[in-house]
Amino acid sequence: MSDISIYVTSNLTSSERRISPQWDLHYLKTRLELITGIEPKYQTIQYYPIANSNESRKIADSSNYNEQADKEVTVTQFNIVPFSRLHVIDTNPDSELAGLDEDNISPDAEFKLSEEEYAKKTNTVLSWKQNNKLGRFNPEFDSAKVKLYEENLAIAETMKVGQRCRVINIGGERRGVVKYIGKIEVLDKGENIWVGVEFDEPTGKNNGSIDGVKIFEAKPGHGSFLKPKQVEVGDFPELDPFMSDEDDDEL
Amino acid sequence: MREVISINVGQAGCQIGNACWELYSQEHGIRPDGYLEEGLDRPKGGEEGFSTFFSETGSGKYVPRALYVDLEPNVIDEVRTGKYKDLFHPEQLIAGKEDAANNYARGHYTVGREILDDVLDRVRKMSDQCDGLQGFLFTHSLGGGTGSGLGSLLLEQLSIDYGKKSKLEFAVYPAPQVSTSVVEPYNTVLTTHTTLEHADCTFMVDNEAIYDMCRRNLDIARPNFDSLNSLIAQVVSSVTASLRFDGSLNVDLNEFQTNLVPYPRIHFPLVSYAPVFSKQRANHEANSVSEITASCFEPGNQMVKCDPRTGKYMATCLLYRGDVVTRDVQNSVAQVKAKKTVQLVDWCPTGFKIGICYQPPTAIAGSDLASASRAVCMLSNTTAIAEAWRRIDRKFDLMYTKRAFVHWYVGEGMEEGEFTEAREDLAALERDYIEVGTDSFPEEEEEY
Amino acid sequence: MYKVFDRISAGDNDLATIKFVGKLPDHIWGSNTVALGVEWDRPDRGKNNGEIEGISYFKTDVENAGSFLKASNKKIEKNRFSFVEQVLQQYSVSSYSEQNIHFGSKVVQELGLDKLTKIQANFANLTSVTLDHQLIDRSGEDLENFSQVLGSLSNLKRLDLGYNLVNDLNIIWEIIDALPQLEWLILNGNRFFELSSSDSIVSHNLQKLELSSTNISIEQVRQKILPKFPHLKELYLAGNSYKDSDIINLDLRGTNIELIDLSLNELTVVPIKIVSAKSINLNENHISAIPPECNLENVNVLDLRRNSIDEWSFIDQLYLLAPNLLELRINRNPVLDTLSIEEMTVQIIARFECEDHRRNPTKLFKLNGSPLNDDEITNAELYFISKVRQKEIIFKNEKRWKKLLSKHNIPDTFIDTNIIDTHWLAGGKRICLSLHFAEDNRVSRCFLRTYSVLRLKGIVSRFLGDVSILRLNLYFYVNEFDEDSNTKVKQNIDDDSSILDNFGFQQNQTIYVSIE
Repeated sequence: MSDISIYVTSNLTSSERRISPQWDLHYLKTRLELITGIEPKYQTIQYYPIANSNESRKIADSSNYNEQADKEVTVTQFNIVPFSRLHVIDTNPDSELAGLDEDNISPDAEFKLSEEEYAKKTNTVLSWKQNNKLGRFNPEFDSAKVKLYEENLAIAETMKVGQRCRVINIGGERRGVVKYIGKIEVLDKGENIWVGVEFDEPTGKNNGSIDGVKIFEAKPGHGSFLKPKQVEVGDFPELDPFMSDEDDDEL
Repeated sequence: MREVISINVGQAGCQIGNACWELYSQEHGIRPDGYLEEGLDRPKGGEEGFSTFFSETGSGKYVPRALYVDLEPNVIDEVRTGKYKDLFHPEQLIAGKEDAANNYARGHYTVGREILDDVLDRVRKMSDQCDGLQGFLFTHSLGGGTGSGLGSLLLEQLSIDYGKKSKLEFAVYPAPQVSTSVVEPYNTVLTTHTTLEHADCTFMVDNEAIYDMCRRNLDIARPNFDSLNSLIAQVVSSVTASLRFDGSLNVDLNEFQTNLVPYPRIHFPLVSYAPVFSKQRANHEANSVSEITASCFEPGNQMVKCDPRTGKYMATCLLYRGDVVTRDVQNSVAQVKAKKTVQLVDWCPTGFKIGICYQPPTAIAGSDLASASRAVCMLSNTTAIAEAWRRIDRKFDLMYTKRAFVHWYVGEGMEEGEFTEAREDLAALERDYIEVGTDSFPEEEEEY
Repeated sequence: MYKVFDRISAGDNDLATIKFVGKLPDHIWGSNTVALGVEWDRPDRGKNNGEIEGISYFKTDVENAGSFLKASNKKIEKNRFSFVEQVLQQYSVSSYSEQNIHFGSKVVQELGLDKLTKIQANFANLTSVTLDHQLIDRSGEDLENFSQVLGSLSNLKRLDLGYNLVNDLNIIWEIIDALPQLEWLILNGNRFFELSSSDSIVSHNLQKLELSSTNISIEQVRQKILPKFPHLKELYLAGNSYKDSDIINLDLRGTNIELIDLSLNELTVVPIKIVSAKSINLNENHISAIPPECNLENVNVLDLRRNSIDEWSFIDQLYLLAPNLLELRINRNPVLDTLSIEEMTVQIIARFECEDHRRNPTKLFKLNGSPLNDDEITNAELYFISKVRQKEIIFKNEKRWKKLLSKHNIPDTFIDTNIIDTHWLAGGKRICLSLHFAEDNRVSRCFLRTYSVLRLKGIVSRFLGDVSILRLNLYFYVNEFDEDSNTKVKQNIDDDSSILDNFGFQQNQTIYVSIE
C-alpha cells in the first residue's frame, strides 16, 4: 500500500502529512512527536474520518500506553483513509508544551537585547547610520529640525481656532476650518506643532481623532492633522456651496 | 544574456516552483512537453528576456533553468510523473530518501549535507550553460526542516561559490495562527539568522494571508495548496516579469536590491498584488489603474499580515503590467499621496519608484484567478514587517526559555549556542527596524 | 441641453438616465429652474419613483431609483467626450512629461513611462485600449480625424468602453465597424435604448462581448447582437435584471457561444435554451428548480453559487442531466447551509462521479473552486456509502448508488426507500429546535441530527456574542409536548460528545439556554 495524505492536528499545530500504512503504531507516534512535540507515552490519538466533522474514535489512549504492544500494531489496522485527521492530545501533566499557546510572554522569558549591547554590534542599522552620518547623525539634523520647528511655530502663532483656511498640494485645493492648534502626544509624542483642520468636503483622513484619541470634532473623513506651513488661513469661503448641500439641488 | 537559475527547496518550495513554471510556460507559449505552442515560431516575450529563465536545446525544446531539491522523494516524484514531467531534465530533480523531520539541524547539518555536493554539482553544470549568470531565485519555506535547513545551507554555499551573484528568495513565512509543527519558530529563527548575510532580497509569503485571499476574493470554499500556490505563482510572476520580458522597461535582479534595500540586513520587502478576483466576478469588479493601485495599500492584498499604516516606508516599487497609460499611473500615485498615509524615511538612499512591463498578466488555464488586462504588484520595504519577526521571536522565546525540544537539534550535532546566537541576531534585526523608523527628518507634507 | 434618455454622470461616478426634462411647480425651485428627472443605475442612490407631491413626472424601472436634479446641479459632470477625443487624450501623449510627486523629501522616480508613452503613441502598437469611466457619449464620427484615428488602431484586439455615457448601440457600431480586428469588446455599465436604426456590418472576429449591468433587453440581444457577431464565443449578461420570462426568449442553440454569463439576475429556474454553451454562470440568481427537459450534456462548467437550491434532489437531478460536467460551483445554497464545508464537499463528490484533476479528466474534477484528487474522492465515496447504509443520509438515486457500490466492490443492497425508519421521515436528517434565551428571546434553528452537543453549544455561543461554551447550560423538558402532565421533567444537555439524535428531541422542541 502506498503512503496516504492525512491531516495531523494538536493543540498547537495543524498540517498536512503523509503516513505509511505499513508503519507500526509506535513509529507513527514517534513521527507525530516530531510534528506535535508530544511524547509517545503521553499521546492520546483521536481519529476523524472526515477532517472537519465531529465524528471520531480513539485509536490510542495514553492511559494504557505500552511501547511493546504498540510495535505489534500496524497502522493498516486502523483503516485510516486519505484526508482524514489524526488529532493528538497531550496528557502529560508536566508537558513542555503547556503555556506555549499563550499570547503574553512573561518578561523573564523574553530575550532582551539592551541598548548598549545593540550599540556595541558593528553590523547594524545604527552603526550604518553613524558611519554614514545619516538621520540624527547628520551634523545638520538638529539645527535643521529646530529651524523647521521654529518656522512652524511662528506660523501657528498667527492662526486661531475657527479661522477659515485652505491647503494646496498635489491633490488640488481643499478648504476648511482650523479646529485645533498645538502639540499632539499620541501622534508624535508632542514633538511638533500641528493644525487640526475640518475640511468642507470629505477629503480629510479622519474625524479629528487619532489612534482613538479625540483631538477635535469633525465629520468622518473631513478631519486632518497638518503642519502649520501647509495651512494657509484667510478669507477662503467654501469653494462651492452646492457641493456640500445636495438636498437643495436634488429631490 | 542575464540568466537566472531558480532553486526550489523542500516541499513548499517545490510545489510553489511547480505553479510558477506552469505559469511561466504559459506566459511564454511553451507547452508542457517543452516545445512551442502551435502557431509560434519563437517564445513569447522576446529572445533576451525569455532566455533569462529558459534554455534552448538543439532540438527546439525549451528547458527551465530550474532545480528541484527535496530530502524526501514524494513531492519530486509528483513532478516526475506530473503534467510537466517532460519539461524538466531528470538531472534537474534531486530527491533524497530520508526527510528532515521538521528539523532545521537535519536539513542543515546531517541529512542535508549528504546531498549537498550533488546539488552544487548540478548548479555548476547549469551555470556553465549561462553566458552571464545574474543570480539565483530561491523558493523555500522558513518553517519546514528541509526548507529552512537545506535552504539556508545552499544559500551559504552559493554565497561562497558565486559571491557576486544576486540571491533572491521567495520564502513561506509561518502562518500567524497555526504552526505546521511545534518547532517551526526555531526553524524560522535559525534559518533567518543563517541567511541574513547571504540573501540579497527576501520576499515573504504567509500562507494564512494567501488563504484568506482565496476565500474572500476568489470565493474558493476550501482552498488547498494548489489554490494557494497558483495565487503565489501569479505574484512571483509579476515580480519576475520585468526580468523575463524584453522591453521590460525596468529592472534586473540587482536593481531589486538597489531599489528596495537601503542596508543589506533590511531586505524583506512586503509584496502586495492587485487585482485578485475570481473569473466569475471579473466583469463586475473595478479594475481601473487608480483602484488597483489603491488596493495595494490595503492589508487585504498583502502577502504577509501586518499593518503598514503603523510603519514607515524605506522604499516602494510599483510594478505595473499590461494595459496602462502614463497619465493614469501618475494620477493614481498622486491619489495615493492625497488619500493614504505613506511616510517615507527621508534619510534612506532608497525611495518611491514606478515601473511598467507592457506584457499583460496571464491566468493559468483552470486557475480561479481572473485574467486581468492589467495588474500591479507593489514591493515595499516597510518597517511594519518587523511585526512578523516580533511574532516569531516571541514564539521562539516561549519555548526556548524551557529549552523545549532543543535536544532534537543537539542530537543532530548542532550546538546549543547557535540558538542564542540566532535569537540575538533576530533581536538586533528587530532593533534595526526600530532604528530605521526613528529620527526621520520632519517631512513638510505630512498629513494624518 | 439635456434630452430624455441622455446619460449623465454625477458625483462619484454615479451614472443615471434622464427620464424627464421640464418644470416642477414654482414653489419648489422657482419658475426659472429646469428640473431633470433621472433614474440612477445604482438604485439605492435614488430617492423616489419619479413622483413629487403626488404627481408622477416619470416612471422608474426599479422601485425608488429615481430623483429630481436641478439641471444646474454642480454635481452633474458637464464634460462629455467622443471616443476619438478620449483615445487621443489617453494614449497619444505627444511627449512624456515627468510629474514631480513628492513623498516628504522624496521624489517619485518613474521608470519606463517615457518608453511606454512612445510605444503607445504609435497606435499600431496598441492591442488593448481601456477607456472605462471616461464620459464618452458618442463616437466622434463627425470629426475630421475619425477615420485616420480608427484606421491607425489596426491591431486592436480588446476595447473596454465600460461605464461610459453611451445610450445607443449604433454609437458602438460606428466605432467597432472601423475596427475589424477586434476580438473582445467590453460595454458593461452603459445603457442601450433603441433610439435610432441604422445598417451595420457583420463582425466576424469578435469573440467576447461583455454587456453586464446594461439592462439590455433580450429582444436587442436577439435582433442586434447575435446576428452581428456570428462567431461570438463568450457573452456576458450579468446584472441585467432578467427574469425567467426574459431568458426563455434567448435561444443560443445554433450559435457558436460557448460561455454565457447570466449571474446576478433574477432567474428561478435553470433556463433550457442556453444549454448549448459549455460554460454557464448562474451565480447569484434565485434558482431552486431544474426542469427535467433541461439537457445539460454540453455543459462542462457550471456556476450555481448563491442561489435558492433547497433540496438534494436538485443536485441529484443535475448529476443526471449534466453528465459531462467538469467544474461545478454550488456552495452558498440553502440546502448546504447547515453543513460544514467538509460535509458539503463529501456529499457532492459522492453524489456526482468525480475524477482526479491531474489526469485529463472527463468527469467532475473541480468543486467549488478546488481541484479534486483520487484519495479525496475515494474517501468521500466510502464515507457517503457508510452514511447512507446507516440511514443518516437519504439517497434515492439508484443509478448512482449502484455505480458507487460496484466501484468499491460492495454487495448491492440498495436501501428500499419505502422502509425508511419513520423516525427519519419526521423531518429527515434535520431537527428544528427552538432556542430559548429568555421569555422574549427565542430563535428557531435547524440542525443535523448528527451534530454533537458541543457543536450546538458553539452555535448558541455565537448567538450570544461568543459567550464561552463553558458557561453555557442547556436543558429541555422531556414532556414538553405532553399536555396532560403537570410536572415537567427536566433533562440537562451536558454530554458534549453526544449527538443530538441521542436525546430523542421532537421537532420544534424548546432548548433552554442559561449562562452561568
